[in-house]
Amino acid sequence: MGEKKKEKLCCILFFVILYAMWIGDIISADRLYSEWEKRRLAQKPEFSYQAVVDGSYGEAYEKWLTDQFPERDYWVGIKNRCERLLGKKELKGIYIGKDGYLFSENVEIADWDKLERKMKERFGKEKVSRIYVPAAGAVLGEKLPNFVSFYGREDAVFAHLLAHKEEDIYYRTDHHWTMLGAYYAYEAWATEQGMQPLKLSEMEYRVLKEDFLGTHYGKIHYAKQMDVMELYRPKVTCEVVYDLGESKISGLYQEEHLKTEDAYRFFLDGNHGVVEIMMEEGEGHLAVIKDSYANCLIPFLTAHYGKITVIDPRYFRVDIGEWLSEREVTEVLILGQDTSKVSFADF
Amino acid sequence: MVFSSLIFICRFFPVFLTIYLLVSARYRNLVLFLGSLVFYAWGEPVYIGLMLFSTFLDYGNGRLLGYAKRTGRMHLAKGVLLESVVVNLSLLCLFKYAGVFLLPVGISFYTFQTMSYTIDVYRGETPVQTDFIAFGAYVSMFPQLIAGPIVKYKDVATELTHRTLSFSNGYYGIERFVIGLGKKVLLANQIGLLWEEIQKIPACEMTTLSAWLGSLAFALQLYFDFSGYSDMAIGMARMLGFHLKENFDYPYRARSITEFWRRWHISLGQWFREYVYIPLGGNRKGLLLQFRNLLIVWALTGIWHGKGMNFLVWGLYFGVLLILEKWFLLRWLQRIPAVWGHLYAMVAVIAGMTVFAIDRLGDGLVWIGMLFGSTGRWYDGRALWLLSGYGLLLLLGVIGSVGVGKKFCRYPLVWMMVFFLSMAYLVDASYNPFLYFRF
Repeated sequence: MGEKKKEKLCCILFFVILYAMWIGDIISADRLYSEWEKRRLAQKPEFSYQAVVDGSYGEAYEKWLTDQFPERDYWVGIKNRCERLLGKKELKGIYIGKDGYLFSENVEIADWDKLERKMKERFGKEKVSRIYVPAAGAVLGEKLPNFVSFYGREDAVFAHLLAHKEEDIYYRTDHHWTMLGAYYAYEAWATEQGMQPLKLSEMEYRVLKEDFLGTHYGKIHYAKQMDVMELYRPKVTCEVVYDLGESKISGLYQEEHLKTEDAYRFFLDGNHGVVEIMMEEGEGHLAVIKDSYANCLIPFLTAHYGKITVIDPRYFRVDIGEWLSEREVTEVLILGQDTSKVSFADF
Repeated sequence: MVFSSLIFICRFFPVFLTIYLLVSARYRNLVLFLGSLVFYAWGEPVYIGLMLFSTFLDYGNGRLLGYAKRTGRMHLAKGVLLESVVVNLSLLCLFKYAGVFLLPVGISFYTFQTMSYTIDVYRGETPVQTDFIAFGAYVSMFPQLIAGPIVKYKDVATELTHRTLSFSNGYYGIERFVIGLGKKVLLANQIGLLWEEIQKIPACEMTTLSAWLGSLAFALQLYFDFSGYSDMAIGMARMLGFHLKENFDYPYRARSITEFWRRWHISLGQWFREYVYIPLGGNRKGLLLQFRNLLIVWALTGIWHGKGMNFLVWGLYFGVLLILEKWFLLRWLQRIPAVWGHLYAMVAVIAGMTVFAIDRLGDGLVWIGMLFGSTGRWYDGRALWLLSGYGLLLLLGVIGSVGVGKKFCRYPLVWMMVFFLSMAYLVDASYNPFLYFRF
């Protein structure tokens, strides 16, 4: 091909590509929400003289264009791949560890310490216990990318999890622990409380899903290995009421979520303000104030109480202490993730 | 609007270029002028009046100068010149340094351009432009409006009225634009993330390695950011039929500070040389006066970059180094192996960049101390972590900044790939809170 011909061809091609992207943008419908990025996408901005003059229209327009760009997910995927190729081990807050493990920092989603203090004031010190859920990175330190480490509170639960770190106690692609991880935490806690914990062999075992991709995967769309989701089901019969009867669902396990992207909702239907669990037999009324880590641990607790009331302080905005004391609660368990930020190895 | 944005690449530019190519040659300046106003007004509608004022004023000044010179009224000509310089500099001072207003985008560039016009007309180096549209197109020309290069009027005077469009100009322009885009989006913005991360490290946790990583990152970011913008400007101007002068010539290849400044932001250096240094007497009036002139020029160069004290110090720092080089250092450097020259130039430049990058002068000096081991720790886990995540990118940056692989990038398939990747990085930018534009 002659030089002149090449030049002409490239000029025309460039123009065609620019317009083709535009036409693609017109043809493709605007999306409200991105499943891929788990966030709402910017929509077409309202045109107004005021907004144009102060520059906010221009900004909003740019956001809209970027968010609704044709095949956005594809472009984002290309960028992620480039960054990994360049050796980056942290993308959008997700740390890419060894053996397919992905990690993230734990943030405090509720003021657990304050809740613990309040509950102790109301119900007495000995009636209130606490489980700090360690960040996956704190327990599985060896799986972290080089030079990075996570803080872990060194209590009985942590030590017990650490002793089982070779087993699949945390998901690779999700920030949660597995039901097995939750079991070990429960085992350590129950022993500490002077209870006789259930044995794994006493429970019904089932593989729920062999291709689970969790929240960490959702953020960066990369995973070396999919997760297996397992169920250890204690043989306890119970009746479950969600949101004081406002939700129609019942039962501890919600099979229908297993087919969706949010498979962890299988346990206790994800996040609800209040869930009440009434056992056929058993004594005592335990209140669990918790975040989503508790969802796969609570089934083990059903073997030890007559009733369990589960409260997620993010979705239940009343004075929890007062509300609970009207309901003859005998014990309180506070279970939330332990705040854990990245730190760096020392030399 | 900035070039490295989807709205520019996918909306403004195709539409503008289509119209520009379709209209007949005599309307092209009008299209360029109006298009540039839209481009400028998009992000900052408020200040468009200021730019138009500057355009009108110096168009009028040019006409008046022409009249004064034709009729031999040299006092009037002098007066008009003085008025033009005073008004332009006052605008610059008022908006850039008084701190009352937000900085109008591009003001440092277009006031310098319009001043070059009136000075050149006064000196008789270029004819008066009687066509307001053509003059408006020169001042507001969007490729160089926001971040240069500073185009002297006489350099484009002919092409303002006679320029040709061709596929070979178009091809060169596209290639140049895409390479500039890649420099900005793929290198500058990404390396900039490292600089941001290092700035967040508390002073007590800094190590020598992290300080060097930070300074290297900033030096590379600044180069790719600025030279990328210049590439895009030169490329687009070429598509429109203008030949702009080069603004960067691999500055990190320099063996001395003198050479560095011949290769970095060339259009600014030449502007100061032509309109300040030489009128002051340049190097013709003895060494002492030359040193004085250098100090004046470099103080002004420093201040031009911003109002912070650090910019003044930064300018004077280079002024002093240049004086030392002219005095004796350059002769020494020529006698020793080239590698020492590179080393000296790089260390001097990076130390200077640090003062430039850090707003508070004291912090900048502390940083320079850290580069030379004041923290007492060579490295720590965090520094190694950052090195492992950014090492390859930095290496690519270093290689690119000295021009290795230049030929490779000119293969059509290669720069098309660069365009493709740049698009991916731009689409994902809404994810990215660190993206910022310095110029």
